[in-house]
Amino acid sequence: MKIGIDVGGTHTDAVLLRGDEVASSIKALTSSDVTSGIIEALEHLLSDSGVAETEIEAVMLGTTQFTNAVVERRQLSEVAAIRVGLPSGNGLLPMTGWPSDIAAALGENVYMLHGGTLYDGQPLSPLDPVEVGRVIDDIKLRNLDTVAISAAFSPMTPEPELAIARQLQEAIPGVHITCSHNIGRLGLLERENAALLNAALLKFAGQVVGAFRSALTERGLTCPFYVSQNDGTLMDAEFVRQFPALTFASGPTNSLRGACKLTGLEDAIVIDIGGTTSDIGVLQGGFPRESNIVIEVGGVRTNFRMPDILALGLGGGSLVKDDGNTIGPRSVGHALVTEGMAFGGDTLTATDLLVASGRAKVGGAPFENLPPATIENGLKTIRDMLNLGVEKMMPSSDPLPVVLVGGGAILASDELDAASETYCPEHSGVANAIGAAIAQIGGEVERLVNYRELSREDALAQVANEARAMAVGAGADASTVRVADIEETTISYMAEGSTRLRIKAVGDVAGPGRGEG
Amino acid sequence: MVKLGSDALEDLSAGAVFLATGGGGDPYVAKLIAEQALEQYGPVDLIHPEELSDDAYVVAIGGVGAPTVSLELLPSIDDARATLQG
Repeated sequence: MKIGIDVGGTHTDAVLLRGDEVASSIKALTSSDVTSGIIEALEHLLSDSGVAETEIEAVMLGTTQFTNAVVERRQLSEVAAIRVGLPSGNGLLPMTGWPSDIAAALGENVYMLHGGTLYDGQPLSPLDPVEVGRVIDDIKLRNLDTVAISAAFSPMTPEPELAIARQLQEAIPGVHITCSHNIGRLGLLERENAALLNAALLKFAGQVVGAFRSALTERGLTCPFYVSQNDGTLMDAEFVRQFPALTFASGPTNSLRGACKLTGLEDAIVIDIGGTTSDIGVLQGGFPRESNIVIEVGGVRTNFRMPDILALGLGGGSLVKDDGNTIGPRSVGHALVTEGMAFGGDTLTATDLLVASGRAKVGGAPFENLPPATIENGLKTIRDMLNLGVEKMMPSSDPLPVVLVGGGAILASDELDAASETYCPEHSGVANAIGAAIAQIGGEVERLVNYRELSREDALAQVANEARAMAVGAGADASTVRVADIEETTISYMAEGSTRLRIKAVGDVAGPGRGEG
Repeated sequence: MVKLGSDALEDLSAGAVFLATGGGGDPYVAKLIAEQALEQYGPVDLIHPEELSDDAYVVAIGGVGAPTVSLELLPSIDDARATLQG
C-alpha cells in the first residue's frame, strides 16, 4: 500500500492507495510548520482505513515549498555565482535581468573566470589556477558556504565545472555546490539561473527533507519516502537535498497524472481549479505535454523541462465584479470560508455564484439582494474563461475530453462547449495526491554518440540499458521498467553523425522484497 | 524628436524578430545588452532617414554566426566596440 501526500501553499492533500483503489483520502489545511499538517493527514489516513503502519510500503510527497520559497523570496541562501567562460559574456553578468529583490536575496556575489570549452569540447581557454585561487579566497573572506558554478558548454563538457567544485570542496569543507551541467540544458544564462536558484535552496532542502523524515517517523512509518519531480518521477531523499529545484513544477504534473489515473484517459485536457487560479494542462499518452518555451520561476528565466500550463486567474475564491462580467484575478484565497457570502461573509466570490444558482451546496448562509442577472452573467463569464483557455491549449481543432480536478472543480458545473466530454471524477479534489502516489522511479542517461562509429540501433539499445539499470538502482522494480522518453539531438558544427542522446526509463517503486532474486 | 528608452525594448525586439522572420533566434540576450547600454548612456534619438544629411557618416554593425553557439558564448557590446575601433 502506498500513501501520496501533496503539500500545497494552502492545502495538504493525502491519499492511501490499496493497489489502484483509494482506501482513504483527506484534504487538510497546510500548517505553518508543514510537519504537523503531514502528521495530521497521516493520522487520518491510517485510522480511517484501519491499515497498520507496517503495511505501508512507501510514501510519496509532492511539495510546492521550494517553488513558494523562490516566489516569495523566503529561505533562500546567499550564493557565490561563478561563471566560467571569459572573454565571452563579460557584459552580461550572472543575475542580469533578474527582479532586483531576488538578486538581492542571493547577494550578487559574482565571479567571472576564464575557461570553459567550445561546442566540440576544445578548451576555450584553460582554467587559471591563480584566478581560481583568488575567487576561493574571496568566497572564504565573505563567509559564503553556497556556490553555483556555470561554464560555457558544460552540458557537453562538464570538466571545468567539476575541477572548480573539487577545489572548493578541499578549501571549504561542507560547502554546498550546484554545478549547472547537472541541472540544465544548453543555454548558458537559463542554465546558470537554474543552478543559482537550486543552490539558493540547498540548505532549505536539507531542512525540508529532515522535516518529512521526522513527520513519518513520529507517526511510526519507517518505509522509504520519495519526492515527486517535474517530469512525474520520484527522487529519493538524498537526491532532493541536491536538486530541490527539480520539484518546481511537480504540483501541476501530479494533478495531470492524477487526472489520468482517475479517468483512464491518456489524451485529455485537464483543468485544475484551486482557490485563486485554474491551471490548464494537456495529457499526451498519459504524461503532461512539456513546454517548449522558456519558463520563468519567480521572475527568473530557466530552461527546466516543465509541463505546458496555462494559468487563468479564476478560482473558487475569485472576486466577482461588474455585475458578474469580471471574475478574478484577485481572490480571497483560503479566506473563502470566512469572507465568501455563502459562508456568511460579505465578499461576492465565484463559489457564491454556484451556490446561489443551486449548482453547489457549500457554506449554507442565506443570500440576499443578489440580482439574478449577476448570477447568470457570472456563470457565463466562468464558462467563457474556461472554454477560451481550453481552446488555447487544444493540440488540434478536434475537441478532446476535459477532466476537472482540484478543490474548485465545482466552478465548471456545466458541460464545456470546447470539450468533447467533461469529466469530474470521484476523488478529483485530491487528484494531485493521487498523482504523487502513482509516480514512478526514473533513470536518465545522456551520452554523446556518433552514429558512424556505433549504429543508431546499437547506440539506442546501449543507452536505454544504462537508463534502465539506473532506474533499478534508484529503487524501481526491474520487471516494470520501460523506456519513457528518447531525445535525439543532432549536433551541428561537429563531425557528421554526432548526436546527443538522452533516454529516460521509468518503473514502479519496488516492493519491500526488492533486491532479492 | 522621439526618444527610445528601455520601456520600448520589449516591442522593439518583438518587431525585430518579426522582420527577421525569426532568424537569429531569441532576441533576449540582445535585449539585455541594449538595456544595459540604455541604462549607461540614456535614451537614443529615433530619426527618420530623410533627416540625415547626404554625407552623414553612418556605420551599421552586425553579427553572423550560429545561434546555438551564442547561447553559450554570450555576445558582448565590447565585440561591437572593438569592431568599430579596429
